[in-house]
Amino acid sequence: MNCRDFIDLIIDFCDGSLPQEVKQEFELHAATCHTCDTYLVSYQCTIQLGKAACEGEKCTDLNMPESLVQKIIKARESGSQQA
Amino acid sequence: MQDVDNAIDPPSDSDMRFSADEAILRELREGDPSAFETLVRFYGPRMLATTRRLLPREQDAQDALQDAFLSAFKKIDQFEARSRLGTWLHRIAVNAALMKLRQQKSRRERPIDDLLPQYDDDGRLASPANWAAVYDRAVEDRDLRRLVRKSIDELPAPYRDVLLLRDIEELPTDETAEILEISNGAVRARLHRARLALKTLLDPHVVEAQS
Repeated sequence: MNCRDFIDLIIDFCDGSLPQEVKQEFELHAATCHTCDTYLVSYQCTIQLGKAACEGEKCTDLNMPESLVQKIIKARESGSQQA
Repeated sequence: MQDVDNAIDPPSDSDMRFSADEAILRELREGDPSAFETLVRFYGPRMLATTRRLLPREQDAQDALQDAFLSAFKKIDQFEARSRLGTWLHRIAVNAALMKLRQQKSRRERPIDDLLPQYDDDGRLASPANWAAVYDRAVEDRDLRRLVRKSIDELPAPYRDVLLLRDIEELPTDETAEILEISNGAVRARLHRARLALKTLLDPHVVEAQS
């Protein structure tokens, strides 16, 4: 397995879908290639950072502004009147 | 015997939600104006959380939510009782957010091939940036989180959309494929490339954060 093969298989490794034999080869490459081992860590970090970035602090709040509720209700009413 | 057991079980939260959904649907179809408000108040907050995850600007997230509710109201007769109302509305909110993303004209999109790993003739990878040292700090760093969001927006739309649905919304592959009208294989291939490309976009900032 070379680095290109390793990178191609990262997604399968991360979701646990690599067949056992390929997984062993994958892990052997990671153990002997510092570049790919580092790449694997950063690939996994990228996924987590993406989640953290899109969650943000505002998304933990499940409140919805009352002004938005009213805006949506009005938009539906004016849509019904036009129809 | 099983039927008897079921008959004396108190209704679960899920059963109660199902009954509430049925009542809302019936009232909506009968044209009761208060039913729409009930729908917005009950499902709006979760749907807004979804559009906020997919759209970085608050105004866009709110506009997408409004589009989603208007669309749901128009299509309410198409809703099939075999799926859950919340799942159906979530799907509509995701579609409204994707539509809004595609309407953004000033987006700086980078060609995907420029963002994929580079190899030498023997298939060896050039030395990547080491993220392990900065990861914990990075997740807490508000500026870096903004930069990550901006970098996701620089991905070509077909890759960005898959990354948002799979990694951010955590939709299963087959549902993502259905929404984007592509095969499951294409979802996996695009997701992998999107992650590789996002990593490349973030590498210089990680190196900067370490120095």
